[in-house]
This record gives sequence, C-alpha cells and structure tokens, in this order.
Amino acid sequence: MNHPDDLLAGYALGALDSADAAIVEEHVEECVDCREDLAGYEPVRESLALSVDQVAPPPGLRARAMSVAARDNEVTGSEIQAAGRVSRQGSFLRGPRWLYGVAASFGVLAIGLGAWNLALVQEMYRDQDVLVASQLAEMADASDLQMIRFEGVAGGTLMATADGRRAYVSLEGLPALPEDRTYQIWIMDMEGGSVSAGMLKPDARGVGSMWIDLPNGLPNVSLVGVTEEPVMGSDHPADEKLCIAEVQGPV
Amino acid sequence: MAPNQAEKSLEECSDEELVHRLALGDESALVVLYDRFGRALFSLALRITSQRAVAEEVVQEAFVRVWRHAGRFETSRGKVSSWMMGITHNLAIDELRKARSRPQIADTEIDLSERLVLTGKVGNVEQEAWNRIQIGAIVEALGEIPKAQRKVIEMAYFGGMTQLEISAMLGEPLGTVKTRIRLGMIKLRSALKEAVEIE
Repeated sequence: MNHPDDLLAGYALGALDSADAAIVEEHVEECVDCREDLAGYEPVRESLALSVDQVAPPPGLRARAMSVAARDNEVTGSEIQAAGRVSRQGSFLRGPRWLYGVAASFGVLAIGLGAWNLALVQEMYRDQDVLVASQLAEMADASDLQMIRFEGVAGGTLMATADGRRAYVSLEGLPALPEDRTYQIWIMDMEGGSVSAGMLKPDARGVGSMWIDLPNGLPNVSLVGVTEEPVMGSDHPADEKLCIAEVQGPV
Repeated sequence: MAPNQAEKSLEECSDEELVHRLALGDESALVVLYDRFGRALFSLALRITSQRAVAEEVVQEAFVRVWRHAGRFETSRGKVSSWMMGITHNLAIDELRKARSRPQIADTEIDLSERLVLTGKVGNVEQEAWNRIQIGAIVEALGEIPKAQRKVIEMAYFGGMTQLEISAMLGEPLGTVKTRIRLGMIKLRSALKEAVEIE
C-alpha cells in the first residue's frame, strides 16, 4: 500500500486541492497508521487557531449569531421542498444534480479521533446542499428573478434578482485543468470595464458553483464571463472566454 | 438524559453536553457556546480575513453550521472546540479566496485597545488551562522551527493557500514546499505532545 506521507500534513492544514484531499480521505479509511498520523495533527491545528491575537467581537454579534436558530426555524418547508420549487423553474433541469438531492445522506466516515474531526469539517463544509438550496429557494420566490444561460465551451446558469447585489453561478462541463491553472469569473460592466468576481475550482465532474457579488447591481452588468487563468488568478481576463452569460448584452 | 444532567445549569455543562442539547433543539445552549468560543472564533476569522465585517459574517455563518449540524457531531470522538475552530477556519479561508482577485483594503480600524493579551481564555475553566499549555507550546515551537517551515505553514493555515499556490508564490519546487510543511508540522506536533506529557 502506498502511503501519502507527503500529503497528510498538508491535508491537516487544508492546503491540498480537492484531488489530493480525496486521495488522503480515501487512504485513511483503510490505513490505521496514516489515520493516527493525521489525527496527531489535530492539536496542532487547534493550537494554531488559538495562537492568534484575541480581539473582542462587537457586542451586536452575539445577538446576531444567536438569532440563527430562530431564522433557521423560519425556513418554511424542508430543504427538499425548496429544491422542488427551484427545479420547477425549468432552467434548472440542466443544473447540477446536488440541487435535487438536497436531503443527501449525512453519513460520517468511521475514522479515528482527530482525523474524524478533520474529515467531518471538510465533509460538512463541502456539504453546501442544504444551505445553498434554502438561499436559492428564497431567490426563486422573487418576482423579478432572472436566470440567464451561459453559452460556450461550458454551460450553466446565472441566477439573480433584478435589484439584487448577488448572483449564483452554476457551471457544468468545465474541462479539467492542470494544477497550475484555475477558472476565474468576470463581470463586464456597461462601460466596458471588467472586474473579477472570484475563482472557481470545479469538481471531478466538471461542475462548479458559487455566489458572486454584483457591486453595482444586475442592470449594470453587460456580461458575466469565465476564463482560464494562472492558479493565483489574473488582474485582467484572458481574451478567450470559456463561456459567457449575456445579461444586458454586449456594450 | 441522566438525572443529574437535568439539574445541571447550562454553564455547568461540558462543551459536548451543550452540543448534545443543541442537537435536541435547545437553542439556549448556543448562547453558552458563543460565550465560550465566540471571541476565539472571531479572532481567528479576523486574523485570516483582516476585515472586521467579513469576520463577523464568518462567525455568524459558523454558528449556523454548528446549529444545523450539532446532531452529526459525535461527542465521543472529537473536541467541540476543534470542530468549531475548523468550521470557522474553512469559512474564513473561503472568504479570503473569493476576495483574492479583488483589491482588498485590510481593516485598519481595529482598536488596539481591544486586543487582549493571549490568555488562553477560551471555553470553561478546564479548557482554559489546557489552552494555556497549548498556546504556550505552539508559540514557542513556531519560534524554534526554521523560518522557511513557519512561513509555509502560516501561508497554508492563515493564508488559505494550497501547496501548489505556495510553490508558485515563493518560486520554490512543489516538493520543497511539501517537505517544509511536513517537517514543520511534525515538529509542532511533537512539541505539543511534549508539553502535554510534562503537564
């Protein structure tokens, strides 16, 4: 059995890309030694977290953080119903499968102390289904909801409300990239300028999604485009766009 | 629930008991968890994102996750503090990555008078004592490992960078970065283990 000794410490720090992280997770399911090795890094991770300068949070944060339970209870219906409302919009029939499988199994990998902790955090963090579905369900109820298709080498959907300052980008068919490259999302405005909306790493199926900010609102967006860039991102988009969603249309 | 637990106040509950109560729908347990860990979580989020408003959102979102997933946390198999720190770390790193391509102005308005001396004051009394040991050991160990190893660990943990991104930024071979992270983390792990054994 090959042991990914050079990856365990990086995994503990969250410093692996998804492919390498998957290698570690798969391996520690089978290998007790590596599982224990990984578990041994948990105190290091916690200590690093605690070693930062302690700063008092603002007084209002306590109340806001505590209201989460009440807000959560207000989400009407189950997340399955939410996904159902979204799926009836039609355009999502070509969306990623997770949108329908919201009530996914929450099985926890049976791995050891510490390593289990790390894996649970990673798994939970990747488990965006429930939270994103409820957020999208709220947007789907808006009367001015717009869903715009991405056209090009890859496909997908841009979902936003007319007066909103956020949009949800869901892409599929993204070609696999070498390790030193990434996808970057750009907002082209009505004056011809472009601003980066962030970088996206698709999963092994070529599917990726993320929320992006629209600082000046949807009416001021000409196009949303996706380019391939170096791994650290670029200040300006590459000439070739992988796919484009025409919002207000070209300038 | 054992009879003695029914009489225990929330403040007397262990972290694990609080999470168990959350899983049963007891919202008041969230308040105690915030009082124990809110500052540490906010401090971590602020350290990573350098933006107060973003750090606040991260902490709020962290508590959403804790509330929603309390039922999945197995109290016999991990520390609550590690779990909550891990959630916060991942959320903060995600915010950092999203903002990476955009011009960001670090929050320079953090009032230095609000900075507290590292006291290890997180959690209940026992946790506090343990944290003092941990923090002391990790700070000392970080000072003792080679600068190159400390740098890559900090870039990974606080900068949210992958090994490949660190390699690209430093202009160092990927294998070198992996080795530095591995050796540095082994030393930190060993230092913490020693500190525990001494205590």
